[in-house]
Amino acid sequence: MSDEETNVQSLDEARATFPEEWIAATVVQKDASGQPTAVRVIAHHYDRYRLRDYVSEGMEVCIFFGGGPTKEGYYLL
Amino acid sequence: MQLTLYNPPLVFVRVAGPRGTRELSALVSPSSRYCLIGRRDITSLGYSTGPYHRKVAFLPEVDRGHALALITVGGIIEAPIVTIKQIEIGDVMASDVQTVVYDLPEPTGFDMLIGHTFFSGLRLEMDYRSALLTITS
Repeated sequence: MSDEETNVQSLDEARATFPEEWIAATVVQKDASGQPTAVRVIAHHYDRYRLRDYVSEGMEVCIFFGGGPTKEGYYLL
Repeated sequence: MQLTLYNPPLVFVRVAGPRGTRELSALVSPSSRYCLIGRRDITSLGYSTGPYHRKVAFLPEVDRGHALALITVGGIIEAPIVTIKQIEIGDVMASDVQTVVYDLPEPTGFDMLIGHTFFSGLRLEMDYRSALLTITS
């Protein structure tokens, strides 16, 4: 876990930096359809719920997982 | 609005509440009757789930004030329901969206389901051949 601010990264770069972790970030760029394309990571943690402890209430934050749609070895039905 | 259609179909959605907004990764799930969000996020956004009964439900969907009994592939769950002020996917917005509050299993890599309570009244096209997800008002 870390709450230090990082440089601006693409989503793929942030996912590669924190693989299999949950990431909280501020969005600095979006594409034409409003999807985030570049972020500044503010916190990351392996536990999705512990990550929320590092996100202040009222903070406008984007939260995503640094891996696939499921953790390795799990599949969606 | 057109988005890249991933498999599974994941998008970022903006969820608004009395205490701010949060942008979350969500599974597009039009066959789900309701949207779904986790407890930590809904309380951080300023919503209250209120008291609700925890009785076992034998009917597929029984409204008991603040809670619903819901059939899932893993069995019946009972969960509170809240009305979210606003949910946006890009420039497509829905207001007063009924949303079930339930924590997804830990290995899932997304935090919400976007179901029929968001998509009702919209046109949704999932074109896997072209990898395009189109949502229009």
